[in-house]
Amino acid sequence: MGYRVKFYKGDYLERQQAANADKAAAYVEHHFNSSASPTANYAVVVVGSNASSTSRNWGRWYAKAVAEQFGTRVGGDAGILVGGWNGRGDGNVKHTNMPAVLLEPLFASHPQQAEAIRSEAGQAALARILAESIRRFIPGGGLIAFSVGHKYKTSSPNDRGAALAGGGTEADHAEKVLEKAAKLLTEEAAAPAPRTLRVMQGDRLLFETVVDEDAVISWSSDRNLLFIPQADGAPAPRAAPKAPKAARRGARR
Amino acid sequence: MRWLLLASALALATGPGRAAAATTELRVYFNNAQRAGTDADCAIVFALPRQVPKTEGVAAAALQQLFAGPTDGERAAGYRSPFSGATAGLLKRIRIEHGTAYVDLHDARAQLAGATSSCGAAEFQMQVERTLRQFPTVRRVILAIDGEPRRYYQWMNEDCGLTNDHCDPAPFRGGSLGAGPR
Repeated sequence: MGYRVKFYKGDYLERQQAANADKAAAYVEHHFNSSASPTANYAVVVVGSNASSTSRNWGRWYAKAVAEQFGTRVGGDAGILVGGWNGRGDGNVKHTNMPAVLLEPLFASHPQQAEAIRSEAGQAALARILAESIRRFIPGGGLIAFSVGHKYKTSSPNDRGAALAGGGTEADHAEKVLEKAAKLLTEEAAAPAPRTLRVMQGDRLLFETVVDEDAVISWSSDRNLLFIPQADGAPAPRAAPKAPKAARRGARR
Repeated sequence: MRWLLLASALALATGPGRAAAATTELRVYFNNAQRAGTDADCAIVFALPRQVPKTEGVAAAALQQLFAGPTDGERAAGYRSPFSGATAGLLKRIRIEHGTAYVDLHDARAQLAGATSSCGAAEFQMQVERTLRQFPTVRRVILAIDGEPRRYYQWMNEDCGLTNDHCDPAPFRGGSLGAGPR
């Protein structure tokens, strides 16, 4: 169940047709969003007007994961724009025969997000989310088609998409994210990834553990406790008793 | 077919009682996240007034005002646009026929590189469409770069289809070149 990755070049229709001919399992085109307003910030994924439920769910999951990772929100309809905005972007993905997404995870025009796009850590985080999303929604492995938005178009070879606030271009950095995601997918392809629970501070991994695939993980806000049941089925502390008030006050000091 | 002077739009926009006015009042539309109450909807635009020397080419005049972008004061008030002084000369010419505005642009793709993202496209398109649709003679808008609609829609990642007359370049080619932006 391993993954192979191939980057497709040429105009967007040609890329999709080539991926179809190669019988790719999934198609990913990576862009960044842009606005005249430097404060615009949300994560969104364009899926084709003919998108399958796999593409829609994949796009929503990815947008939500990016929003959580980068402290932003999801745009569109719960993270996706079906058929793009007024048809814009539809042609980039609707000619595929496989699940396909056009990613706009962050805004190139937003100064802080542009900084994240330029950073190794930001690119690594985006690559990790993308790789995880592919493993989740395309679990059978196979050829994953990657397309760098704007770059390598026959009809417009100098196009690099939007300028990043503070320097750089959308396309060059989208390519870096895809290269990192390709590495994650192909180097870890030997065995299916177990379900993993992670605690992160920003881009820094604080804690990681493998959990049972079927475990119901619950969060107790009273106790600041993330509870993972034992394999023997110990119940989650849904109504865990609170500590006495005095003890709680003491604990806060 | 010929490039129009937009006389019909003028008649509707001015009326007989204002024929002697030395200026023409127009509206342009820009985004403003503060007024919209959200920066997550790039398609919300707001009208701003413009006063230009009296002209018969009101649609062209409105687009020229739009393509110059918001003033410094308007920017300070939160108005935003992909257009600015760098794109002030973007309009090549415009004609209106049977309710369709055919807008021919100079090639400014490098200056408007962000306009092809989903948010950027919404800002671009809504500002142009709302500015033109203030005139009752305009019901839809088709754009081209240097007379080639396919070039524009390919840049915008939009297929040629019914909504853009399959990128037919014919309406952009005929007529008098002298009837440019007015």
